[in-house]
Amino acid sequence: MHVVISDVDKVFGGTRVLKGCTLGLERGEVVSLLGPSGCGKTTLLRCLAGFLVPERGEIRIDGTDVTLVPPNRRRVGLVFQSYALFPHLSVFDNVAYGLTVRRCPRREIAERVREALALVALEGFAERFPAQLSGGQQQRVALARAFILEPEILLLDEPFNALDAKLRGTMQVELRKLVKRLGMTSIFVTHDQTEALTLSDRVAVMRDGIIQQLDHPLALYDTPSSDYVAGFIGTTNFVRREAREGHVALGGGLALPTAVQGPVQVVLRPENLRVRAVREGAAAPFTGKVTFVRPLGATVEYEIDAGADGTLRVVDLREALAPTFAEGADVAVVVRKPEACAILPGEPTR
Amino acid sequence: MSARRMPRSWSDVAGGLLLYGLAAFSLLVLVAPSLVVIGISFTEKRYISFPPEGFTFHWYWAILEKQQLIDAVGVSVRISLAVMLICLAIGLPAAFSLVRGRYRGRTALGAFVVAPQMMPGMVIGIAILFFGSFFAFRQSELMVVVGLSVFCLPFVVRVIMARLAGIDVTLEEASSNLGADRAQTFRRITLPQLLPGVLAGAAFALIEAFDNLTVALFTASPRGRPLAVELYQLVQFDSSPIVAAISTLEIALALIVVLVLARTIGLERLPEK
Repeated sequence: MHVVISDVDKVFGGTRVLKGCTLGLERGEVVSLLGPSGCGKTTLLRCLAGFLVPERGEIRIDGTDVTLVPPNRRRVGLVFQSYALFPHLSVFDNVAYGLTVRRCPRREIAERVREALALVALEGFAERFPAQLSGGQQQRVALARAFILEPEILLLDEPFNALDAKLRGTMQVELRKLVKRLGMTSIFVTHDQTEALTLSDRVAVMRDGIIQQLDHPLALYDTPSSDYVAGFIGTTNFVRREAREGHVALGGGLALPTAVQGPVQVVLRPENLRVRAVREGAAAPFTGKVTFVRPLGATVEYEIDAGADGTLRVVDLREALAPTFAEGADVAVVVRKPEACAILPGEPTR
Repeated sequence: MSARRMPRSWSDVAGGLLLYGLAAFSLLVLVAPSLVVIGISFTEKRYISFPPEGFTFHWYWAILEKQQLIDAVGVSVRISLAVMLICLAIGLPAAFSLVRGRYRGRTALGAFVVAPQMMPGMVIGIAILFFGSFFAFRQSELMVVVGLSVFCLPFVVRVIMARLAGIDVTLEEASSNLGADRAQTFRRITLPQLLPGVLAGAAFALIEAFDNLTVALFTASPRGRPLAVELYQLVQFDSSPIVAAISTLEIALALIVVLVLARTIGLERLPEK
């Protein structure tokens, strides 16, 4: 493991903001810390950068404990949410800053800054000042300023927050490609799931100072470890049942095998459900009334009032010219792939 | 074709006239006395009178012949430089502590540091004089420096604090993240952004200490009077236009300082007195 965070605790004014965070990154891996604001993701990032000292636990880079190393002696690059470009320095001097304070020879600085600016496609901007740049350009300067020092880890704190929605999408893809090209171990902090899924090899879902689950984007979606993760990534229907003798009876004769006993929640992703007409003799796990139809074209989204199971959301792939069910229609809902349903033991915790 | 205009209401016109009238009146009240002084300084008469008659630089040359005036300028220059340095030496760290510090009683301490601003210079002068007498500390150049430092410090601290509060702390974090130590961060990031505040504070201390009368009157020793006190004595016994000549030079000096500051850091950043 290149970077190892083990059992890190951080307390602010009596509140434990981080509760035993543990996380390991392979060299060159890109991991996102995903969670709502106040979940501790930025605090963890600041511990990594050295601005905060955790009360407990340790942070190792390449096997060396850096928990107590001051920020300026760590080889950790941080791209701030606000970019924190130095307003009185030109783009060139901003990018050169880290090399200048390390007293690099001038010619080497000029050469490396030129290369770094080329990598972020800002060749002609060296003499400009931050105030003369657009948000996207400022972000690229902040990036170049961080990676020119070839840090062991690159940390990015909500790097797309200050950008408008259209630019954000393109920059996410660009950034992912750039970071992968540089082969830099990176940690992104974000509260936006699309951003996390776009950028990362693995995503750590955080809640209340705890890393709930660390996994590949699709694994998070397919096999969430908790109802919190299932609810945070994508849309989900939760159905509560009792597991008995190795099975969860969903209804209509459909039983899912499971090893757990007692109360469970079955995670039903909307696209794993299908809406069907009610037919005599054909049992279905759920029946109900259509309360809302969103005819999007390629797909049709339904909300179905399924009685005791609450509202079920279904995303039906629509065949060409096929009619939709109308609001108020009585329908049956079936599961496409029963084996794809995650089963979470216990009562809801959301 | 002439530019089209919206019709203006009576109250708009009246308001506009009132504004111009007030501005003209203020200008008259503020500037006219200075203009009178400047005029008198070139008069050929032997006593202060207006309107001036003739034109001569005689009174300016006369300054050079009055040794006590030359001495007084020297005293004032020494005092104002010392006050400026003391105010910066105390004010800069104090402002840092008051803006960036995280400790109990920070707000109270801030109010305490800025409090002398509310006090008339005369009170400060008398207080320093009486307080000094407990320790056999007599009226002297040093006492003027102490009194004026107390008088000027709040302004200097306030200007630097305002500037410092406007500096984003994440810039310093970014600097440290990029490998700079505290000293490098201060020199390369914090100070350049703080400079307008520091310059404005220094200029204020310099000008105020140079021509302050109220504090100096009580703390200066009879030998080694600063310029303001010397002039005050002079107008009581001497009615020659030499006083006007010195005043004109002071006006010119203040104008130069203000112009230089306006050119370098902008007028809007100067402290309000």
